[in-house]
Amino acid sequence: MRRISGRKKREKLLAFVLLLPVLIVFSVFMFWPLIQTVWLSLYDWNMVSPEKHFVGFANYTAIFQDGSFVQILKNTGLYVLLFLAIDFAVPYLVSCILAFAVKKMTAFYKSALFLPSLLSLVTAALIFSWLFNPIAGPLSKLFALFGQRFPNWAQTNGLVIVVLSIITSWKLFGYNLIVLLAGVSSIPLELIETARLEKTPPLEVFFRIILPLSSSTGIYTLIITIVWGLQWVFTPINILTAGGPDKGSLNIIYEVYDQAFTFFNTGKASAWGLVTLLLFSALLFLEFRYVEKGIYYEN
Amino acid sequence: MKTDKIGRAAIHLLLLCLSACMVLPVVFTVFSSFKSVNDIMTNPLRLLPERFILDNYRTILDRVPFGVIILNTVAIALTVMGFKLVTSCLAAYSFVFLRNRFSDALYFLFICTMFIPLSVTMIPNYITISKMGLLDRLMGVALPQLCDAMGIFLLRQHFRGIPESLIEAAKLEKTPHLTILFKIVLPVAKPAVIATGIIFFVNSWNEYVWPKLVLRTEGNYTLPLAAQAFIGAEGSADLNITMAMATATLAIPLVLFLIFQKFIIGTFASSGIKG
Amino acid sequence: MNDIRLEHITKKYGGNEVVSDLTLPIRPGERMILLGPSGCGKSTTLRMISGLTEITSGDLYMGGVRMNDVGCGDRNVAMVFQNYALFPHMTVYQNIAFGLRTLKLPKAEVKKRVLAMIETLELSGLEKRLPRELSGGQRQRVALARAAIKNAPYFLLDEPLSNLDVQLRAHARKELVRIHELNRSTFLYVTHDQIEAMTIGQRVAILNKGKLQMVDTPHNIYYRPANVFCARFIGTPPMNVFPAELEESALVVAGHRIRLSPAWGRRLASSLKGPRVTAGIRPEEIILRPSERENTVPATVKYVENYGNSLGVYFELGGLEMVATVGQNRPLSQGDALFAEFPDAGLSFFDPETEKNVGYPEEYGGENKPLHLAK
Repeated sequence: MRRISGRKKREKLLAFVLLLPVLIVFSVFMFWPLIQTVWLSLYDWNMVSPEKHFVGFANYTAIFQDGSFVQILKNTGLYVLLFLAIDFAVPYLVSCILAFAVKKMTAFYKSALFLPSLLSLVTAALIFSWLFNPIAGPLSKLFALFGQRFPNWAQTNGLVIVVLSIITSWKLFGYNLIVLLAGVSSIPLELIETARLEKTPPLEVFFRIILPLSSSTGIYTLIITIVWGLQWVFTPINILTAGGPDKGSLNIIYEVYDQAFTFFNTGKASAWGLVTLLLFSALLFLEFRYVEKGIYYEN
Repeated sequence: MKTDKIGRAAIHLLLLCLSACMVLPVVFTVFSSFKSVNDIMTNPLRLLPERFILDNYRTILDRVPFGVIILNTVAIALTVMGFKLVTSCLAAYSFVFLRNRFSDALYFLFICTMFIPLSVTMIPNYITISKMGLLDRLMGVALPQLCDAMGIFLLRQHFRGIPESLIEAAKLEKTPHLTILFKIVLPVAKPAVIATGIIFFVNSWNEYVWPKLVLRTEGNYTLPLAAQAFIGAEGSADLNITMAMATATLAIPLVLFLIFQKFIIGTFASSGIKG
Repeated sequence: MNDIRLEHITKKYGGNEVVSDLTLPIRPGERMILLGPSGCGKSTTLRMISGLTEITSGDLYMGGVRMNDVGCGDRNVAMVFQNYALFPHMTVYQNIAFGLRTLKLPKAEVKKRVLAMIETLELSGLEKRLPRELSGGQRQRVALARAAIKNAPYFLLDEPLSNLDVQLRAHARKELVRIHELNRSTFLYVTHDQIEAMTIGQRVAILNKGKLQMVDTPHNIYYRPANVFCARFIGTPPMNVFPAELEESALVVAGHRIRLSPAWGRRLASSLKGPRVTAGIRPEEIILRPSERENTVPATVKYVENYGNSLGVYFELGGLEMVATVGQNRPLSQGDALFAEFPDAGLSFFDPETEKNVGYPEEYGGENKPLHLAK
């Protein structure tokens, strides 16, 4: 007969052993890079020479003094705003509609809206580079029918970010929709019906009942939208504009790639990486505070 | 919410438009892949081809070693999917049924990896892989992707949904933990496991950034890389080829989606972030 | 010998004591019920015996061996869970066969035993069905079969009938007793339903807030409740319990005098410290008369409940509400002015401070109520 104390120890050991593979892979390819990035950001290195030149915080000051610093931040901000508008606000409302306002065809809508989420961003970039082609694309033809000219978005600041956001949002929409739908669906129908009996307008129902009661799903989705959106848009940027026109579509993620693999300035790239990491850490803190603990509880 | 008939119709119209925005681009692309260049250029708004041609695909087969590329993509995707599934299942089991304070701390740590941007891991992993001599090799692409915190998160949520009493009934029969995992937990959570596996496969299939950094020679490319080359080099002149390439890239994920859509959507939906 | 001994067993979650100093010997082969309201600690106690929950302090002996540190798979315990815990992906046959895992028998032997058990529990024809294709009653029998097939010396059940329809429960109760008779395991059954407790149990242990209130046969639980809690927990409607005062050999209740027999007078005088006492009488012991008689008190009917074969008459005595159960032989309605008689043999008395039963005079059977005095 095995004693409980020995068994508990063996269970603890097993618990750890089962986690070991993940721990090893993450340590080598996630945590170690973190440390390395910090370390690299303090050096001046071009990735090939065996010599590394210690420069302390010079890379960081270089970033802040860089002429394009403000632009990169502005771009990033615009990306975030667009992502939140298309991939957070809209799916939230759509999920409420699917959960409470329609009864038929919900399976079809869910599938149709989720479809792009399983496609590659390369595919999306290919498709939309054709759809949005200012000379020969279908949309430009449509515009021409109304006597308008389709703008040359790839060369226009601002618009280029809009188009790249649309491409990325196209893919992100479905996933966010499904997750938000799950959160919203968990709200008991009776609560909504009670509000409707009091003739509450739909928007008020949304803000005062649905939003608070699905808040932890909402916050999770908000955070994921920012974290994934900024990273996913890398692919369309890389394929379609390479950060152009003239840094017009660069964001903080892409800047790292640009600095490292175009300018071979790993020090500056790593510094940018850390700045991004700090931003994401703030989001991670929010995630744990509000999502893992949950915000609103139904009495 | 009770809305009147007109309101209901309007809502459906809105949803249909939204669905069209999602689906039409794909439909358009697939049909365009069977059109000739002239067809696309002269009638950009027309959906169906004037004449169905397969030449675009023939051109692709001529220009790129398509078979090899597919094999590369499949090999990496299967390897990554396999490893991710195994490690995620083991980890999820540990987090749910062998929970202790130490593993709670590790869970926090693992979830943190979801917030480490690729801009931080890009350079060091590139250095690591090149030091291992795995640059331009399929293994170099797969290695950093062998584990996935998202998968652990999803599977953990699903394992938590299994009634504790099932595990206790097995424990009373002296069933060892790994047997419980394989004979009870996995069969009961089968839909979630399958769906998670498909998500892993598709995500790997669609990967662009990391393969682009690692792979250099065309013969080692994965499908998204090969597709991208068609935009970079060829420009917009050969739109028909581009469309064909795009169709080829999205074919497998699309088929997988159509077959398993209920599973996949269900798994994300019931990952139960309650509140 | 498959007896179970709990000695000063305590379970704490943080600062919260869920089971307090529980000492309970369970005889080999007996059917013992753990009865009590929600949160009284009965399920926790069961789980401590099974090994699924750790014991904070105290000693658990099973078959004379101390089991505190023994793993739950090694205690030779069969258990039926409240929600049955059937494996949803396994057939009825596979679920039942799972109970034989530890024995590592050859396949032919497993098949023989499983089929025999299927027949015993009237599950024939359902071997290949999955749990979701079964009715509630069938699932319950499969859970029972899986546990019973082990022929384990200890059989633990956690509210196994609570998910069944009321009509099925009577049949299920008989089945449980039948299973028990087959191998005479030591049967520990947790429930909050007093009917199950009284019909299935050979002895019943009543728990409240983690503390043992009394353990005795169903008969004694009913007629000789150890304290006010037990008195009111058992019986529907529950026993009337009310404060009163002793004056010479009479009971003063809300201003009315009820003469007590000398036997009671002696008993109470020796057991109580002061004139105050808590009195109790079961509804079926109260006699309602249409006209005043010696030693009756006025009772105005406030409400009448129809139980089918009897009436529950709620009446007021002074400011106290009481209920009496009478036959259906005469129509009663609200407002009727009746007179209630409290026969000495049906009375119980409790210490007003400790709420413990002060006992019964020998004339009424003492510690055991004789059957001929029971109504």
